[in-house]
Formats: sequence, C-alpha cells, structure tokens
Amino acid sequence: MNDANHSAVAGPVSARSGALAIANTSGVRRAIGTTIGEYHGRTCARGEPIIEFEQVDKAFGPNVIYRSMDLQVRLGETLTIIGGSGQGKSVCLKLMIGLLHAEGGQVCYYGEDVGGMNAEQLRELRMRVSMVFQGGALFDSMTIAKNVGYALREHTDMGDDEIERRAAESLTLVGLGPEDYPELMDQMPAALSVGQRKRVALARSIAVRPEVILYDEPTTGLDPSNCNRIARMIRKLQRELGVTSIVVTHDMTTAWYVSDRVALLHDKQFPFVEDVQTFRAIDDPIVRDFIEGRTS
Amino acid sequence: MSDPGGARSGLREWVVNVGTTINAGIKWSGGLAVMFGQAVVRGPRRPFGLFDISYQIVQLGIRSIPVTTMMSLFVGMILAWQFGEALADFGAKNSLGYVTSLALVRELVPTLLAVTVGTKMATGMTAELGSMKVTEQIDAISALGADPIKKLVWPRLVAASIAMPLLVAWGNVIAMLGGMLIADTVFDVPAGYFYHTYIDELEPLHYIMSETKAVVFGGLAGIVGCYQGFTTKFGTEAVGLATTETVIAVSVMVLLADFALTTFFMPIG
Repeated sequence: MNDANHSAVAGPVSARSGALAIANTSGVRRAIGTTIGEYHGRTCARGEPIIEFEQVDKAFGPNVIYRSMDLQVRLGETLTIIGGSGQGKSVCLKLMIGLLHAEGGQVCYYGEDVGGMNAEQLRELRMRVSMVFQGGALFDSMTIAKNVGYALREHTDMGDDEIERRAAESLTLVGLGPEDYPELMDQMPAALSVGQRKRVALARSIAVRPEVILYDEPTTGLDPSNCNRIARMIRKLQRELGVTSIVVTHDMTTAWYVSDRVALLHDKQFPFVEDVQTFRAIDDPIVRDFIEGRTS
Repeated sequence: MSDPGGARSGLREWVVNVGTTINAGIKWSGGLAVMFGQAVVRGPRRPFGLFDISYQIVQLGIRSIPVTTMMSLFVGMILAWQFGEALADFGAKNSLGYVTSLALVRELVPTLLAVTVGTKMATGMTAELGSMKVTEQIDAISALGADPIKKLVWPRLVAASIAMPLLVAWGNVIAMLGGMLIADTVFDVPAGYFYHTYIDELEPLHYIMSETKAVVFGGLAGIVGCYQGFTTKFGTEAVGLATTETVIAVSVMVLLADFALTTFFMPIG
C-alpha cells in the first residue's frame, strides 16, 4: 500500500486491468464517491494487501474463535475461506466490516483499524465493502426493487427513477433483469426461490458498486445448476466490476472455480493460504482430509 | 441426621442462582438503558423518518382501537357495577360518577391498557425484530451502512409513545360511557347526572396524570419490545422465548412505573 504521492510515481492505476478502468467510470461509483484502490488519500495497487488481519483474537465467551490469527486479502483477487462448520469463517467476514469486533489485534482496511472506526467511518467502509449474507437477508417488508435500491436511497440523493434504473442494472448483472423477469422488481422476497433470493442479495450488494464483496456461503442450499450460476456470477462481477471478493464456502467445486487463493481455517488460525494450484497440491493431512472429505 | 455438607452445597447453589439472576437483571436493565440512550441520541437526526413513524403509529395505534374500545367499555361497566353495589347499601348510589371517575382515569384505564395493548405492541415488535435478527436482516441493515437503531428502534419507540396516550384518551371516554350505561340501566342513576358528577370530580391534573402514565407505559412497551427483539438468540424457538419474556417484562415494568408515577403524582394531586 502506498501514499497517494508515491502511487502517482509508481503508477498503480495504469497497472490495473481494463475492467477496473470501466468499473471506475460507473455512474453509481461516482454517485457514491468510491474509487477502487484509493481510500482517504491512501492507494493500493492490484495484488497488494487491502484488508489485513494482524494477530487477531476473537472469542464468544469461553468459545475461542481466533488466536493470533493473521490473514491478508489482496486487491482484485478472489480469496476463498474454507474450514469446518462452526469454526468461525463467517466471523472473519463480520470482523472485516465491523459487525463484530476483535478482542485483540487489528483488522485493517487500507491500514486503518476497523475496530477503531466511529459510526461515520464504518458507514463509509460499508459502502465500499458489502456483504452477501448466507440466507440473503432480504428485507421481508420491501419489494425487490426497494431491497436492491436500499443503500442508494440511504446514502445518495438520487431520485426514485434513477434508483430504480440502478436497481434494474444490478439485477441484470445477476441475470434477473426486467427484460427476462418483468414482474420481479415489484415482487416481495417471499415470492422468490432460494436461488433467486441469493441473486437479489448479490444485486443489492453490488448496487453501490463496492470495492470488496464478502460472500457468506453463497451456494449453500442450492442445487448444482444454481451453485454453478452463482459461482459464474462471482467471477463475472470480479471481471466486470473489478471487485475484490472473499468467499466463505464448504463447496469445494465452487471454491476451485472462483478462487485466486484459498485459505483453510484450522485450529483458530489460517495455517494454509495458497493460490489454487499450490493449495490443491498440498500434501498435509489436514488439507487433504478437508478437500477430500475424509473423516479420519 | 441431616448432612451439613449437603446443606452447605444447597445454600451455595441457591446463592449462586440468586446472584446469577441479579446479574442477568442488571445486564438486561443496562442493555435496555443503553438502547434507549442510543435511540434518543441518534433518532432525532435527519432524516427524521416521519414515514416510518406514521406507519408504526398506524400499525400500533389504529389497529389497537378495537381491543382498546372493548377493554375500556368492560372495565368501565365492571367498576361501575362493583362500586354501585357497595354504594347502594349506603344509599349513596348517586355518587357513582364521583367514585368511578378517579379510579378509571388516574389508574385503571392507563394501566390496564398498558398491560394488554402495550404488551400486544411490545410482543409484536419482539416477534418482528427477533425474526429479522434470526434471518440476519438487522446485520444486513448495518452492512448496508444504515443504522438499525434509527431505522428500527426509533420509529417504534416514538410511535408507541404517541399511540398509547391517544388510545388512553379514547379509552377514558369509552370507560365513562360503560360506567354510564351501567349506572343508568342497573342503578337508575340518570346518564346525564352520572356524566356531570363524573366530569365534576376530575381536575386537569388527573388528565395529565393519566396521559403521563400512558406516555411512559408506551415508551416502556416500545423499548422493551425492541430490546427483546434485538437480543433474540438464534433459532425460531428463541423468537418464541423472547416474545414470552416480553410479556412478563412489560407487565412488571408497567406496574413498577405505575407505582413510581402514582407516588410522584399523589402528593401534588
């Protein structure tokens, strides 16, 4: 990560992909004021750490989740976090956006400690780092259009028509556009299938054109074709919007498909964090047992 | 022969249980106070969320009018009948209006409505917010950069504090009509006479007492309902448990607040 002045010399912007350049011209991104790779005068080039966990301790009462945990997420990559149920994979995502706080150590975004941010800073962070919840977490009392446009209504002075247009754009990106599903925007979440709800949740999180998207078990409970659809969408969004993605999943097929790197949570830490090819070749029994689903 | 070791262990367990209960009570009260403080500080900021507040007033207030009407009518009729029987023994049934007015306006209508309608409001909030908590919708509001306290707690707190005094004002009128009906039909006290004696006994402070209690009870129902919803544990069973606890919490807190307010108002009334 560099200071703004250094980045001007190093020229990280020119090093970014064409997709990033397209992403930065997005109208919503301009309306929200987010720019990829730049935050409060600090810049981060593609491949440099944007989110860092440093010696993080986290516990719920006597249940210790993390002990001196370290992890880095690099700008522009898709990092998949795998690990056993109940070990705290989702906790990791919630720590990144300040929904939970670490008892020890730091979770840093562009070098700023998320745990030390005030309400306004957290609001700003959450416009840049959005989360797709496991069950979708769509608001029951709102139509799909209102769900998707929620953050825009909260944080921009866009008019209703513009918000609706942006919502339609986001839904189109996840394959639920008004051309294919003309009634969908006026429907309530209860009328949708589980797979559609997850895609709407994804549309809601990309409506603000975030820099980072956190996916909490995006394929859980879906049939194989929907799993495949969601996995392709994660890749597509990374390509078209230039987002950094962190995916928590148990589904190894999805993990191999979407990931640039894979991190295995084991014994309250991430002892194995490697790119996909290297990770698949790891011979350690802990990794092999998890990948191959062995119970030994 | 009794076992002193067993008795000591039983006593220790009892003390631990009492301590745990007191500790939980203090934590609960503290959490409630913190949420109330957060709502009062963050709620009045722009945008004021007037649509959300009016929506909640309709949900909590307008939809409670039928049950309020029924409760108040029967409370008025029952109290008039009970007092009427006693007063008739002393040949003082003409004082029925004097006697029932104070009890109904100062005490029975606000308290009974708080325990019934207020509990209904609070449990509705707990169930709704508890379900939102379980399905991570509250986290989603935070994750989208909005403030769940301002979005969810503040409108409900304000709406309950506005709706309850309006319902109590309505309930006071209906309770008087209930008393009037019994006075006229059962005790042959003319309705007009009952009305004049009823109104004659009441002073402005009695209305203020009635409405102050209603505002406090409404606020208590609102904050307890929201707090219970926000602190619901995970699982659908937890929503049911939180809702049941809300009924007890609201009832107990309303009675405690009623005693405190009565203690405050009686010397000046």
